[in-house]
Amino acid sequence: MRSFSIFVIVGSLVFLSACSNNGTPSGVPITVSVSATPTTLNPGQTSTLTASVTNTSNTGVTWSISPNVGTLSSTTSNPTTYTAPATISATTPITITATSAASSSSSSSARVAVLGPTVSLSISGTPAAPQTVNLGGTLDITATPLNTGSTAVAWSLSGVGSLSGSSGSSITYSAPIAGPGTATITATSGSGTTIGTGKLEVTVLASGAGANVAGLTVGTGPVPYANGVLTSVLVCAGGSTTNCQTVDSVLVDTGSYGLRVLGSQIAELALNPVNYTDGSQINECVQFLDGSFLWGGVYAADVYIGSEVASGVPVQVIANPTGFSIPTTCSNGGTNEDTQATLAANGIIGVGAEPFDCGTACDPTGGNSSPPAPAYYASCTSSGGCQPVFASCGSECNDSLPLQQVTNPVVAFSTDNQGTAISMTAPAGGAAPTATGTLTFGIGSQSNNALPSNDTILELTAGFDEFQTSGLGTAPPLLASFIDSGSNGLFFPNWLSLTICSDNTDFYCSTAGPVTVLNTSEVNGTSGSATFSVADADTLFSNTSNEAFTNLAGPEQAGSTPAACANNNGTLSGDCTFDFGFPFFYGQTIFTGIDGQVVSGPVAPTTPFVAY
Amino acid sequence: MQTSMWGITQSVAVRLKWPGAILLTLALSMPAFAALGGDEASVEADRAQMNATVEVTKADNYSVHEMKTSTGVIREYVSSDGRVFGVAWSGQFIPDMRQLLGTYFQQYSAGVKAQHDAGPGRRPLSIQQPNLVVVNTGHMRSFRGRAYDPGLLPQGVAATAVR
Repeated sequence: MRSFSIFVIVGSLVFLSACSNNGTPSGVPITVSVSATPTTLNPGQTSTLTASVTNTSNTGVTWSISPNVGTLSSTTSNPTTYTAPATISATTPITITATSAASSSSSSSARVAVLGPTVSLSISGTPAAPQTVNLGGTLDITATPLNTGSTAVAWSLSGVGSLSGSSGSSITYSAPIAGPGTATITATSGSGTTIGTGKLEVTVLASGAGANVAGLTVGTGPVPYANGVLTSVLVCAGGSTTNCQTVDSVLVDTGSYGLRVLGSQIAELALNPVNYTDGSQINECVQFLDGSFLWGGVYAADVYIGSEVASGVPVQVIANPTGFSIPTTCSNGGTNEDTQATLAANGIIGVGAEPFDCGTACDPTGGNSSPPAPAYYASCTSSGGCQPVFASCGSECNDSLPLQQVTNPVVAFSTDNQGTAISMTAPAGGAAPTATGTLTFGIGSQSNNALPSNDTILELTAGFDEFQTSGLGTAPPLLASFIDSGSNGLFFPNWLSLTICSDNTDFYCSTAGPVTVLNTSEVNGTSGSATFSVADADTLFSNTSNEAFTNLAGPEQAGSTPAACANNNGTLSGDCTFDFGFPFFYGQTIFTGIDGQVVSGPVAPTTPFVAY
Repeated sequence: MQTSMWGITQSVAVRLKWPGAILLTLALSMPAFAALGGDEASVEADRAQMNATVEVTKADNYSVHEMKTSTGVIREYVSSDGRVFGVAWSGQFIPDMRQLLGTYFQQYSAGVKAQHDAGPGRRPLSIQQPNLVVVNTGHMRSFRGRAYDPGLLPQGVAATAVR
């Protein structure tokens, strides 16, 4: 069952500019919408495509398909039938477009996937995302061959642990009783050109594994990435349990909200775009503190992590547009991170303290007369370019429109949706090639995610998700501190008189600490201390094998002196921050409670909050 | 014409539309974008572009023009002889840097790229050049930063005044 309803109607329209003639006397735009049933096909199967056209008496459409794979029973009848080719070598998404006969610039598309030879893996009837299991634990895995011409399955294993057998449709994986590590289980079916495989990654932990747990690693990504903490997810087309792809090396980011994936990593998925009520596709531009940006369309997907699933959740697919350029207000002078090399990952999963990546500022009922400009969400039509537009955050924003904003997947889980807990094993000696840990979903919802009563619990400012930090030297409090697993160091103003590295002014090149500061909630005044140390970054980076660093830190330059953090009239301003980046996560468990969610139990702070 | 699965196929060239209000034209060679390094008229252009209210505070030999929108604040620091020597921002989004940095924009863009090329890892933006300092920090839905030209700071005014 879907937790969120997505507007299935897909279309685009000619808009109200002076640019073009939509062909109707009244000027009301012609809209087209298309539905496909079913959306996942085996070779040779058919899907019924139905188009509806509004605001014109001419309901005729012309159909086209892209790529030109498979056939349409008719390019003009409505409905029409798409027939998948009799054979296909690999799963291929097909875009089927209906163009209005009354207006050639009014069109709409639906996506279907034609499945190639593959083996679908499931656990307890659910598509199997990468799993965690404790030492001595087991996993029962079922394989369903598809389009391989055979029902026989052969299993193999690489990595730690063992399998109960080597053939059959179901198998049990047994983790070793000692020696945490990773394993990949492969199921193969068929032969020759119809051979299909399915793979499942398993992370064996000394402890802490579970259905609501995903594994975390530093140092295992596609490029060296100091303190880049990564996980793996399974992404499926909405409503499909077979059109799925595993995406590895996704950055886990408590400083952002929503799943963003390189389009190149999910090329087999027939995701449907999330559109506006006028039918145009929603595109989004997000920017980061370092000036980099991501551009991509918003699509609905089923996202599986551990044994959790976020059904029909809006995600951003990072891909450059064709036919027009990314608006310069999006690039904004920054760096496009649209490749594995520039992003240093295959995606970002934002599991921070907010449910939506924009909130009421972008919502049409949020009280603003116009959407944010430069554009955060943009409607990009086939002839009119990109315009900033509102995007709904749905019922949680008291908006009756369907959800359109990219959404923190955790709030879309049916349970375990209050927030997360991140636990990370500190690298021995403060630096190592890799580090491991866990991302646990839910707060107070399972036996493994109770909020400890003696934790420091900081209720955060809603929307901004910040708190105060005092005690850094003798300076006044920093008013906009935040905890952010996506920052790869501790970044704070240089009030400890540390040396800034001459070869890289982003980091400190002196040692300090342990330093204890006091973090205080700006919501209710509760406080707790935090302790950190600083190591010489040049020394850390000199060992090029290492990527996990406990004491990596650098300057937050705005606060070069305490005076720079005060208002003009001498009162404190919010301009200076302590960014508790990923080093803060080593050796402890940090909870993030999501704004709008409710935590129950003996320890039940009001969201949003962080706790450690 | 190539159709990308994830992009939108365009059959005609597209002209982008700038968001926001139409800029005021007050003089012959009114800069479309302004602020840093620009004159006081360019501050008004920014205000109109942002559709913001403005409040002016006077200090000894400069004034601060504070522009508030529903999603954030931008402050522009103008010397007594009418030159914008610094800008600062705080809010839910990173502001339009071309608008704010004017002729310094290309230099800013090169600085962002240089920091990005130094290696992966999200960290605060820091551009420290003799004629341009830009810093920015924060996280999604909450950013704050400042930019100034050290060479334009009025007599006796410290860089920390820009905040």
